[in-house]
Amino acid sequence: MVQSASKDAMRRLVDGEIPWDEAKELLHINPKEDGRFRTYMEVLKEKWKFDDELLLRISEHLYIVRKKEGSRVVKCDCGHEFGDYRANWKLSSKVYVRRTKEELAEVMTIEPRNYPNPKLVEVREWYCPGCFAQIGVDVVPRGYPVLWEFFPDIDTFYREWLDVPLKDQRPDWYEDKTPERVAQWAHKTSGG
Amino acid sequence: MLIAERKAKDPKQTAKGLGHEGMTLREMIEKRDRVTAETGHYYGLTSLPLHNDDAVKMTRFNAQLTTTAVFARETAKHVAASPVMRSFGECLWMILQPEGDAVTASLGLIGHVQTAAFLVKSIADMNYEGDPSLGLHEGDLITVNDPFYGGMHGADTYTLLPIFYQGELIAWAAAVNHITDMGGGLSPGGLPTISTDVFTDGWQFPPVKMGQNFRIAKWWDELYMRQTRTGMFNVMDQKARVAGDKMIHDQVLKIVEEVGVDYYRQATREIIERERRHLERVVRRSLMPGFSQHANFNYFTWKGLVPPGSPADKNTVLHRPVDFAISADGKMHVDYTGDTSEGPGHNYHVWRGGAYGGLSWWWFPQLHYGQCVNTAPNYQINLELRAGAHTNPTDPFVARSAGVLVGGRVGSLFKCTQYPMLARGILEEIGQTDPQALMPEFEGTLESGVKWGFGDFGASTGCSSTGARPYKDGESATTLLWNPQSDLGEIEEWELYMPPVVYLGKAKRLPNACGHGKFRGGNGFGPLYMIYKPGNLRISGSAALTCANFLNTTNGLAGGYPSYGAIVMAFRDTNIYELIERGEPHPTSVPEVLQFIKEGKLKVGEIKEWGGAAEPIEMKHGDLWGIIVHAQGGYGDPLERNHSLIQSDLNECLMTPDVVKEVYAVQAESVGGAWKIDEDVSSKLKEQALKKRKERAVNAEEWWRMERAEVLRKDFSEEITALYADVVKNSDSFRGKFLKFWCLPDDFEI
Repeated sequence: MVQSASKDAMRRLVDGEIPWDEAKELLHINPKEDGRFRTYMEVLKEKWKFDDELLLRISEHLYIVRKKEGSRVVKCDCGHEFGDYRANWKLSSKVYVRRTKEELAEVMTIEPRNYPNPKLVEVREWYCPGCFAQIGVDVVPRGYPVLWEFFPDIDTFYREWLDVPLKDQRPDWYEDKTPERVAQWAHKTSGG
Repeated sequence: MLIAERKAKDPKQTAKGLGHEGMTLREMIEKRDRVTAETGHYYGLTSLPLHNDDAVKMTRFNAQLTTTAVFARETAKHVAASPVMRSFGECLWMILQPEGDAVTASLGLIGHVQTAAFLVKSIADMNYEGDPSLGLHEGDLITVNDPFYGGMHGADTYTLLPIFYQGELIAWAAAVNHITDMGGGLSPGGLPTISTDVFTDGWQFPPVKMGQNFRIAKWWDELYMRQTRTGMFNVMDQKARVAGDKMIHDQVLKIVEEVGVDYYRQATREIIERERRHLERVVRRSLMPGFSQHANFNYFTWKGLVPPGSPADKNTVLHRPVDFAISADGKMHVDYTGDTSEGPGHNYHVWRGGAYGGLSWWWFPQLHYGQCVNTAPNYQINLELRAGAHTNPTDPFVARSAGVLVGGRVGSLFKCTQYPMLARGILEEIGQTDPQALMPEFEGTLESGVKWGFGDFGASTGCSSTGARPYKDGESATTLLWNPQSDLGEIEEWELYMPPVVYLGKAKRLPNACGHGKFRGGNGFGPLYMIYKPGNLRISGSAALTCANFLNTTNGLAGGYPSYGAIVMAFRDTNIYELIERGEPHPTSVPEVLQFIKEGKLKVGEIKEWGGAAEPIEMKHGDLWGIIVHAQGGYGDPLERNHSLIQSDLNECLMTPDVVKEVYAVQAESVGGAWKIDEDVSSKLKEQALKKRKERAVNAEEWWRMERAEVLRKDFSEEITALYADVVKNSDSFRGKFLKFWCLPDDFEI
């Protein structure tokens, strides 16, 4: 019985190439091994092409990194930076919104291709402005506030769950800065 | 008198209680709640002495209890006649603490380990032990199905049997199963599609003592026979519940004799605390402190379907957002306070017990694989509800016959835990799988004059697909979130109980029916029925956990698309029997019907279509009625999908070349009867697809300005306007979120 994910297995998991039988062995580890995050970060750091320090991976292409000057930003593996990780990265993305039946039917492909109902929802596709990879899809009514997939409490995680406090920990690293971002936009709109 | 009113008028219970050290049931529950809250450990157990002193004895004890519950289920379900219970296994037996927490449970409908404690609390609040008109004695049988008293929905019927040892209430045996029809006034089945209020929901009742000395009262059978469409099934289900409870009763007393009552009392508490600790450990190893959010919706088109003048005579969008947080102590916090307010227009109301029960469809398959299934997660998950919302209504008369569909937002909970898992490197567990269902319910009178009713749990809900993972595609027809260990049974058996309804197709994987992505979700499927000499027959599509109008129960991850929700279609006045008589091919799924019509092979008089639940309609000989359901969402950008996987999909008829070109920017050619990818052309198509994205996407800031202008103009459809008008006004949490995101003035209203 496998007790932990080897670095090689972790590498193939990250690359999406692990065979199902091997993945099932990992599924049977319960609870997961203590050192999983360490192995994972080793694999991610080996693949990381940039100088910034990796703190966390938060999506298929997106990472939270600490830059040399001390800021923590969301960064795509293509190199594009989305700014302060405390604001929802979608607000630093490119977005395409599908609203008509024809636009929706391009990607919702089951016949009779009448869904979702354009009277009720729109499909928001979020792209990385650097590589234009599709990094998020939301289906919500028009006017719905943008959903935030995951805002991690990084300092608490490293300090209290891993017992390796980050050198730059600060209480305000877990403060939602999204309202500040949109407030700046509103300020510009009102001509302030 | 409602129990809340009864409690207010009857605050004192000074008589010696039935519990340990003479405590009343209510006192025992209050003590449990107090010491658990004070210490953060179930029943104040900061250590597990029996586990530490003799782990082998403890393990054996736990196994004895679990085996007792499993044995009760595997035996007693054969008393039932309905395949829902006997074959499909939509049932559960539990051993409860005297306070109501499940210590362990059988295989089966495991979500009810979270509701049981609420049912027993209702029994305590009704003062069963102190009120001479009720009383609580050895051999009493208590049955309840009204979600107001703790359960999930009216068809899920519980029977509880108290277990006394030397006069002390030491446990309960509890059974639950989904009955096939609850006698709904406007539509049939276990999950009536339409119900305007409690008065049309069907037969729902509080904890009722319907038997004594382990025997069911005759009048109780009569009620099932007179109040529901499937009386004989329901009577036999009741006998099965009691049979299993009695088996548990006798076996638990044997175990107590063996280990001693003090050991039993302490050990059962330790089992619950042990499982709570296990869940905490899983959270700490697999998730991460932080915050996630998602939103879920459903759509009810009742306008013109209910009696004129009824306040339910409207179309309603149900808003069911999830704010999910994990705190430093490993506790999970689920916030439903943004929910649509209570009111007519849907029958999805549910109270706290049912809401906790719905959570199990998420934590059980996603997080908690312990030594047994019990109520422990209730003590590791804080559930925030808003009084007056449809989850936690204040009006006791609201329609609640399909309240179980709180589960519809379990996909949102899945999604909220997928990204923390990705951050921790627990990639093997990621697989956004949403609970999907849409169950046909039938009623009518056969040509022979026999009245008939049934709900098909077979093809349509018996098995679901799985979502894409970061390393593989989802699979079709492999799982079911709320009955993860069910037997499922043989699909053919269901035809025996549906005389006028013949399967033309059962679970055929449908092409293009998936959420697209780097890895795609499992393809959907669904039954196609042909109607044969039905007499009088109505069919409805109920239990709509999913809704194609919204797609939000079939989420994609990390750039993957969601799939569609359930689609129902009815085809009236067809010439299907002519095709069959001529020996010609016939369609076996809804998309094939559409294709046959397009090609002129099948004639149809009328087509009806629903993007979710379907109201009862009359069906005649030669009509077709079918569902497309169960597809799951994709993972990652479709443009990154490996071409060999696309080729394989084409050759297995899971995708068509036009969709592959449109969604994946891949050109395929048929060579010698097999599909092959043209890599050169595909390379150019991908460049064009990326160029198209660049051309039509805008900066988020620009989009925000455009959409904000629409918000200021309140430029929404009628249904969405009604949704916002409600939750922006009545939910402080959603109002704060909405106003802050769009930078709106404090007095903004819709």
